[in-house]
Amino acid sequence: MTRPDEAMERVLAGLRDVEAPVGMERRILKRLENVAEVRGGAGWKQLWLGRTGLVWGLGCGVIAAVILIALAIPVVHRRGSVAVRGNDVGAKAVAGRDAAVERGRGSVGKKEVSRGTASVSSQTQVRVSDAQEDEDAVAMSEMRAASFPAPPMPLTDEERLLLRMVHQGDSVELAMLDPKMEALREAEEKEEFQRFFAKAAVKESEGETTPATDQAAPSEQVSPVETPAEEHKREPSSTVQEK
Amino acid sequence: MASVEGLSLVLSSMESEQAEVDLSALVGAYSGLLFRVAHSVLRSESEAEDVVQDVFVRVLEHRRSLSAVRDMRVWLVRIAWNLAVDRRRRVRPEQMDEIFVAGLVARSVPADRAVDEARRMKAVLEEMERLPKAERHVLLLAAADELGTAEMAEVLGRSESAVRALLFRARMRLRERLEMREGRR
Repeated sequence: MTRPDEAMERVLAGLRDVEAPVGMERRILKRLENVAEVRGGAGWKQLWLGRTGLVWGLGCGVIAAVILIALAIPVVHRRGSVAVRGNDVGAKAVAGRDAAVERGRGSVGKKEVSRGTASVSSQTQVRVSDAQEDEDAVAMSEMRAASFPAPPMPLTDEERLLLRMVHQGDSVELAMLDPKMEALREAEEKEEFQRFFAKAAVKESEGETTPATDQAAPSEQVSPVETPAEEHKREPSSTVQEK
Repeated sequence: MASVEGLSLVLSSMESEQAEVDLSALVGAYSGLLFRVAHSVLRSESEAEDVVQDVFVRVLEHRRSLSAVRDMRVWLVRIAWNLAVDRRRRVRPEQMDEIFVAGLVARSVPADRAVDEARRMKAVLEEMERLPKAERHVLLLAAADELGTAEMAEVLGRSESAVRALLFRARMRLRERLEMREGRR
């Protein structure tokens, strides 16, 4: 056997004869145990979580339902009582009004009939006392009725005027805040200014041109070049006219 | 022992009736073989042990399908082989060769001869790494010397004749290269 063969066989034999480290089996089993525990625990945990989640979900649902019922009962009760109370109040008011009418009729009857029978007077007294009780009941019910904020009152004329005075320049103030609006407003003012002064300039120019035409008219009548003889002829007449 | 009993308890609670497998018996029966297979690829004891642990963790994971395994021995070796080859991409066995060769050299020989032997064995390992992948795999798997050709063919996914041819060629090529290397010296 050559030396390479020998070396090769020794290496292969070394690979074949290698022995597992001491305690490897124990370590493997320990690791497997840990893995199995983790997985088993996870399985049980999932199961537990599933059951617990179901229980918790049911419990939360029941609690939510109880809370909703507890909140809904007073609201429903209040609405019912308000409606009933309103009906009572209306009925009592109608009854009171009827009682007052009856009382008035009774008094009129008393005057007309001049003290009627005792039975009639006793009936009217009973009705009056009933009416008083009804009025008291109406007052009590109104006093005990649920209070609500009063609706906003409409503004008076003076308040409207005050508002107009206070909020007179709102658009201008807003334009001061908004640069675009401000620029637009400035452009409008400038344009207005230009328009105004352009009109003024036109008027001035028109004013200047109209006297020139007025002056030009007599010059057309007078000949531009006058001879001294003509001037001399016209002078005495003018002096005479002056005189 | 207590841990083994605990493991049996845990497993018995988890396993179905069809997949009753005594894992501790499997570990006792096959851990040595799996260690050698993994060590032939990795040449590191700690890495090989990790591979063996991973193999049995896989077994635990697939405990429900264990009943479908025809040959438990081949199945376990195949898992160990694949895991070791996968791990070899991260671990360079060349780094472990010094320690492995140091363990192979006889301590009774003089120091100069021991150094020479260590050099030769390291050269063998280096040339094994330079072999074509298929030949190297067959050679390393055959080094365990516990698997027949049919089993090796099943592990590697090749035919038996291919395995025989690859093994023959691997040995021839390795010998030639080692002789060439010796000749250059």
